Amino acid sequence: MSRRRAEITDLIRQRVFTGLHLGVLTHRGRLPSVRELAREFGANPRVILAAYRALENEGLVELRNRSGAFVAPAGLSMGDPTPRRADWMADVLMEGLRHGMKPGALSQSLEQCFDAVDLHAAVLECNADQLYSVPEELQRDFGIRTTGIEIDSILAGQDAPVELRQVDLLVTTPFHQNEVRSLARRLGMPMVVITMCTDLFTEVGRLLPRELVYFVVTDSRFADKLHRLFGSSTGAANLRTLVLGTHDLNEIPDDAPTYLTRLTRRRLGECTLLQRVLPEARVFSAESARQILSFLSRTNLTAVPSDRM
Amino acid sequence: MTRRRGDIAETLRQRVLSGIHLGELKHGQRLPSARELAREFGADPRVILAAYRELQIEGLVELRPRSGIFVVAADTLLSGLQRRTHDWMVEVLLEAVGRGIPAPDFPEWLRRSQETLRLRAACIECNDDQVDELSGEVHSTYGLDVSGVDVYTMLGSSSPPKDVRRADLLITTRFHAHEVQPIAIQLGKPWIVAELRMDSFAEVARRLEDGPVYYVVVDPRFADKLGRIFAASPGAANLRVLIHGRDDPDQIPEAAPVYLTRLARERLPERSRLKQIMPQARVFTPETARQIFTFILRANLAAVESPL
Repeated sequence: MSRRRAEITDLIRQRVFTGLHLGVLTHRGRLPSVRELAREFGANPRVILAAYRALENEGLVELRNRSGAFVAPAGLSMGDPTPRRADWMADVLMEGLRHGMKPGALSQSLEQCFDAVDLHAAVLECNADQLYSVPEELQRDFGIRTTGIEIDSILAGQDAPVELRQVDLLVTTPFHQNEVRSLARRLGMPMVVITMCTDLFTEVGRLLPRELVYFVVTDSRFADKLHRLFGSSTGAANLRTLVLGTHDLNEIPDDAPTYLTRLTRRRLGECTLLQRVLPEARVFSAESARQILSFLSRTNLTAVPSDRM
Repeated sequence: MTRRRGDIAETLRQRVLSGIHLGELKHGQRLPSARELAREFGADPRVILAAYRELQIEGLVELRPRSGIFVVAADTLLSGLQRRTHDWMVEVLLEAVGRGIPAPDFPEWLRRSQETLRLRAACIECNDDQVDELSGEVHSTYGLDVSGVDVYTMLGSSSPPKDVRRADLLITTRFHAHEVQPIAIQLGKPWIVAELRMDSFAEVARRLEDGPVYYVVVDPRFADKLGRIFAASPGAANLRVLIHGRDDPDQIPEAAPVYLTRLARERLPERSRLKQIMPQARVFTPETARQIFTFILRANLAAVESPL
């Protein structure tokens, strides 16, 4: 039960953070009611309330009697999550001491995980939406220069294109791992198969049996992929995919849960009239992020003389 | 029991690492046997052995059947440490990403969270040895600017000395907490009562029961204080405190255990003659270390406008 509560707390926290980041939510803005979330998550309202209380303690959310849940004013949340963050950082510094590194040495060692080599990765995917979201996350969160390459264009050709020969790492998703693995072997190049963070899929899977769920994408091939992905879920027929520029977004009912891919978001800008836009999900699972960080840091650390570590 | 083992493993890990770092331990050097340490820690030898095994898994020590326990060879140690440290650093970066901080930005972010403000601490104690011990640790590990303040000078003057007035943080030990607290409140300054790692005092008390234990200090007031600290120990009569510059260090038998304060360590040139210098323990307990870090981080994070 408390595990479930922790999951829901994490999910709401991420929504609030990304919501604020994207401008979909504002400080002091109203959050969904306990009852609404209980329905969405298929959870007991008391569990939702407990999750909101935990976030209230963190200074992220404000609960007002009888009027609901709100994002806390700026000073309390985004501007000043200081105590919580300071506690975590203190843990990191303490643990650093246990590893024999004083704070200065720790920052330096961490820096060496990135500084020596300018890594360049190629993401191989079959549709524009993922060719945008995967490189974006690689670049933003891991600082890896990334080129997106249409996998079909490679499989069609005889030789691997020049741009592929210049990269240090191939990245793909489980859908294409077989093709990419043989390519990687041929080129003698490391590869990482990114597994997706399942939060979004879990959430959609939970909503589908109950109501229509909309996805707005930019590439019909990603729409097809989504239908394959949810094909065996209960309520699969409730999945609606719209392709930006082809379909009319006005057909989405105001209150229907709607997911916009990152590329869609970028094309639409942040002004959307849809009320129930699901927050942007992190693309990579923790395991994938760990693999990438390991690859990144090992490559960099082995590139510097070992006595500097 | 497992908690005790964890504590002992932690103490041993610390000793081995700082021993190597300070040059007091060499690669391949023999470490005290489980039996010897069992006496020192007042623990079952099996517990000590289990703690050593933990360190063996981490690649710090090597247990050779029938011949003893050794610090591992240099290259093995390096790769063992690197692996452990590397895996941990990856977890830290992963957590940073999870908290919305891009991994490559994290090192700089960590630095800014400590170095945006130039913070100054006043370390207040009643003798030069401890003032120096506190100040040295606060400066070298935590990177704060430090001034050492003698508690009697502070109490003797009508208003607190400049070093105290312009400090951002006051640090003292519990011996002087009651004297520092009112001044901190009067000046509206945060203060930390540093808990010193007591395992070294406990260790000394146990060694005293076996025979003479030597302390070399600089300030006679610390000599008196040591006398008071161990007065109630069964082996109190075995405590020999030498004051640097007054007493002759040659009177210390070669095999006797010797503790040097940081200040004495700095001033004593012929320390090589003394075989059994006890490794310098990190001065602060983890709780105190956490308090100091938290102070530094909160002050800096509040100053850095939302680093995200």
